[in-house]
Amino acid sequence: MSWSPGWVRGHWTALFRTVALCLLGMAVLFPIYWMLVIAITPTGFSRSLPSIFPQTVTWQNFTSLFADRPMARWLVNSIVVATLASFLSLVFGTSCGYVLSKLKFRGAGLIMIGVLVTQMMPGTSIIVPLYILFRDVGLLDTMSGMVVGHISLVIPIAIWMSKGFFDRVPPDLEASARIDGCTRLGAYFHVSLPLALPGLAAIFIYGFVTSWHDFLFAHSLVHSQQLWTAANGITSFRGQYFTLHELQMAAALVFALPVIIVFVVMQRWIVSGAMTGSVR
Amino acid sequence: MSDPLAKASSDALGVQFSDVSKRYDRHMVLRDINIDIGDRELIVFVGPSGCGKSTLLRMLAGLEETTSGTIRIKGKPVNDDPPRERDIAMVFQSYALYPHMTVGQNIAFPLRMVGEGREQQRAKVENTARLLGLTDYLDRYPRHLSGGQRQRVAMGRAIVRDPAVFLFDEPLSNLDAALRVQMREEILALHRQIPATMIYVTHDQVEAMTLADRIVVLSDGEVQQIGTPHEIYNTPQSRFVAEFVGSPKINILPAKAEARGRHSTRVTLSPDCVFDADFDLPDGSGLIDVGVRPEALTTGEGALRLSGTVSHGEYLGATKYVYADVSLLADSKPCRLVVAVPPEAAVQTGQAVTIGFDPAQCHFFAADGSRL
Repeated sequence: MSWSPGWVRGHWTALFRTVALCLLGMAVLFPIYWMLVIAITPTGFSRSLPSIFPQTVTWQNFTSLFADRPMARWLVNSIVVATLASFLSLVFGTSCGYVLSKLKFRGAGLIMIGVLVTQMMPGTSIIVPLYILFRDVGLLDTMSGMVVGHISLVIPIAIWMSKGFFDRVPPDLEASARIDGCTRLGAYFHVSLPLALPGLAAIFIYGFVTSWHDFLFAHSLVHSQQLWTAANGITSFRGQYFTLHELQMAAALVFALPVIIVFVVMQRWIVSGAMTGSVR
Repeated sequence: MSDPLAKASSDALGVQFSDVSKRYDRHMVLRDINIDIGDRELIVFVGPSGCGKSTLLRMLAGLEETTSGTIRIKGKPVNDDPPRERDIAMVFQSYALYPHMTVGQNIAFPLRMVGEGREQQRAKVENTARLLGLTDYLDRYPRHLSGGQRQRVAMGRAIVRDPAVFLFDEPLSNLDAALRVQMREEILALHRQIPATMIYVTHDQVEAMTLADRIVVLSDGEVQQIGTPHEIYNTPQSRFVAEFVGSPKINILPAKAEARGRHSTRVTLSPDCVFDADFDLPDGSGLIDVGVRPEALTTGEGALRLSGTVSHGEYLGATKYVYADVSLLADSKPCRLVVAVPPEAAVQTGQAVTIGFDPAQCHFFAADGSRL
């Protein structure tokens, strides 16, 4: 073994990189670990933890969530709203994205810019007019109103993302399908849509996560507790004078699970190289 | 009332373009195209990039709308028919294989779209795969195939439907030189086996010359000439056609011309090179272009001679091309000629050389490029 300066420098660099990555990993994962520690600490004891390791482990907080609080109801509401909002955004977004990508017409660029402009306004600036609009059309404090609200959050990005994915489908493929016996719609379903599947999975995940995590719309457009989403429900553990940290952390853990499941299920569709071999 | 004779003759045609034009906004890309393509004919559209040959093919396929004129397939006007109703198949330059389908599924796709039964699909796919040597690849995806194999799959997808007209849009341009030669042979063999009209678009004049029953030369959205490869090469109807077909390019020499009588014009290439040619000069006198193919020139011998200096030579094994600068008319710049000589000919750079030619092998073009 040679102890040349280059060898020593290389090993020091590798060591430094490993230590830095470990520290970064710990910094990123510590809040999740701390959330877990508090979630399994008996109610009322999280403010006086003697160490960063749990002393007493209890699942009482989790059972209490579902037995004493309507956590299951909130989760179902979140799942229904997020699934519907992301699915409908996907359907409308991909249709618009496809048209803007494949059919050349005057004003297409302007429409794209118009769609993008809607994203430039923060949610807080549109929530009051949206509230008044929803109140006037009877969508306030309804599940469908919340779905519509979340669609308005997701659809602009869905249009932009799907246009990008459809742009990558070579025009010759659809032309070929049309010659091979497809109608224009048939070419869309048989060729363009399957090839844009990785993109559609990404759009669905984006839509689901956006809707799942939304608090502003969920809190402003819905008042009835039975219509609360989980994001709204978690805040109910925090009072003006007293916060149930242990329950709140247990709820936050449960709240994170569906998103992880959706991501794990959908991510297998997100593969690179779907177009390889189609054209030169 | 329609003329029954005309109907019979149009039925015998595979494809007919009648006064077809195409305009994009204000830009006219194809102008008054009239081409009659016989049933079972292999016709090649050739021309430089941007001449409109692919647009013409895509209009026939129904992928582009026709601004004016009529396109007929087997005598039936198809302008308003969608691509799937035109009884055509197309092989694209980019292969255009469906990447999410296996080779077998790609070939079966057109059959699936017309609702053919599973058993019939399988039989036809197997036949086609056998014809193209793809039997061992039916379960593979396009990404696992080489360029040549992909091109074969694209051809398989076209022939499996047994269409009336095959369209090839520069199908070999992505392949290397050796594979191109092989695929050319396969397309010719296919044409012999499948009695269908084939229309082949290319910018490669070698492909056009080797494949075509007839060639359509296009330039700037207009048909320059339609003819057999022999006619196109030996009697080009314009300077453009003469220059486009042939490698190396035809030599074009400026000359003075003066009408001498009916079908007789005196041509002056240089003070020492004056001859009479049998064509009419409508204007009586003026400047013309004389075209001579490299193989029609010799070093040293010939009925007429030009003096020049060798610039350089290119040895190609079977032949050798000598590039020589010759002085022609007093008021014209020196002109560089290419002469095809036997490979053993000893020619040195800077050497004075006499170039001989026979006026009978010259082509004469007016100032507007038309043949005289």
